[in-house]
Amino acid sequence: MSMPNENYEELMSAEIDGELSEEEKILLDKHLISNPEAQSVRTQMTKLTEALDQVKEIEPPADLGRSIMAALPPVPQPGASAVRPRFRAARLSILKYAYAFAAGIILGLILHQAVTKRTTTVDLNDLYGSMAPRVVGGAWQPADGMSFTSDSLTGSVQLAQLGSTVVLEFDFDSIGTVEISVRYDPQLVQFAGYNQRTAGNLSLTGRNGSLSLRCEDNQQHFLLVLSSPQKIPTTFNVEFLVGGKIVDARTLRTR
Amino acid sequence: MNDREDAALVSESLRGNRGAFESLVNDYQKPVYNMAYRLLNNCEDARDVTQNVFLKAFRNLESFDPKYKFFSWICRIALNESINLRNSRGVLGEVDERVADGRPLPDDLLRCAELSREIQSALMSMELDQRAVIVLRHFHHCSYQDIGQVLDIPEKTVKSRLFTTRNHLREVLHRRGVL
Repeated sequence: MSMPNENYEELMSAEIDGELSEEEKILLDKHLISNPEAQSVRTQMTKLTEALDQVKEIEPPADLGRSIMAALPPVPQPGASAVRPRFRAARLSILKYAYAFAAGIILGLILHQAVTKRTTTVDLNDLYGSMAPRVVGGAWQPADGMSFTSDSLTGSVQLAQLGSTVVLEFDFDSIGTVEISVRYDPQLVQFAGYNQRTAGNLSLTGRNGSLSLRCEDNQQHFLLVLSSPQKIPTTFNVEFLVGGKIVDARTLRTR
Repeated sequence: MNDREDAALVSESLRGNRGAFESLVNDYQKPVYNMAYRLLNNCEDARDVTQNVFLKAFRNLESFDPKYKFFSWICRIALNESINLRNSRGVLGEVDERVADGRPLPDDLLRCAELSREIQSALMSMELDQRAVIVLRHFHHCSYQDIGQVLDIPEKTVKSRLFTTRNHLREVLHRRGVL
């Protein structure tokens, strides 16, 4: 009896969960004996399960239980509003002050930089408004770039630098979700922040020397800001994936 | 966390015993917080979701059917709250500051933290309903039946979704050199 590979992979998945019947187990074992590729998939599946088992639980904030209990109404009240207004209002009020405080700090930094004319750190003015012409012209030095045109993805990435600050500017249109991977040497480069120029759905996760982005809208324009304190030439490996397949991969270099 | 004890705590809570509900909060805040974190990838959002989940649970305790597990019921509220929050946001995702600033961590901690981050990053590359099956199965050790109840899908769909999601996860992690 023969089945498509996908069906055998489904059996491997069920095997992980201990959901295989005796018949299915025999079928899977037979397939594995004669198929090295399937053996490799099974090894990866086993490793995946082991890796997932190693993911540690995260401790919730110590005061979470207390704040939940403090926000409860006196007795269960079916049908009442899901969020207690007073509780929400208190949080919003705190957030309002926090945002005002943060805005004050940013404004202070901008003024400080304007007065001291430091050019080696990020000028926050350059991270807002229309970035494209300023990166290429202005104080930012264009270092490298890539453009791409395919059925699913059209656009460009520009790499520019100013002192120890490096900016990767992404501007593209796509059909469907795009995943982007940016890799660099963490000894030379550190991630400093990102800035979205269009209100698209963008998620960003990062680790040492690697950033992963997922863009769920057709148009994306955003900047990744990185710091390269040693100011020596370095490389960025940029990879675009659509539907899980690599559609473009390049290496961009600073000067 | 025993189903019968949970049902008794729910009954006590409905009679006005806040201590009983506090026991449920103490037992389930960690799994709910972890589920929300794995789905949303943001600590502050996970906290907000957890708070709202218990508020909703408290207000709707009468609708809890003791023939189901309290954990499945509360997970379903957590999933819905996470979806609502996700839909209300344009941008998701956060970078672990400790790693983003380039400071080294001890080797074993770094390996474990990096593996968790790789998995979290790969999870974030999937749709939220796909993420949910992995989170429920591997991090909360739910049965197919429990996952079906939380996601409101037949067990057969749980099985096929687990397969599709694992396969995607395997490919992503293999491509990144983690597997």
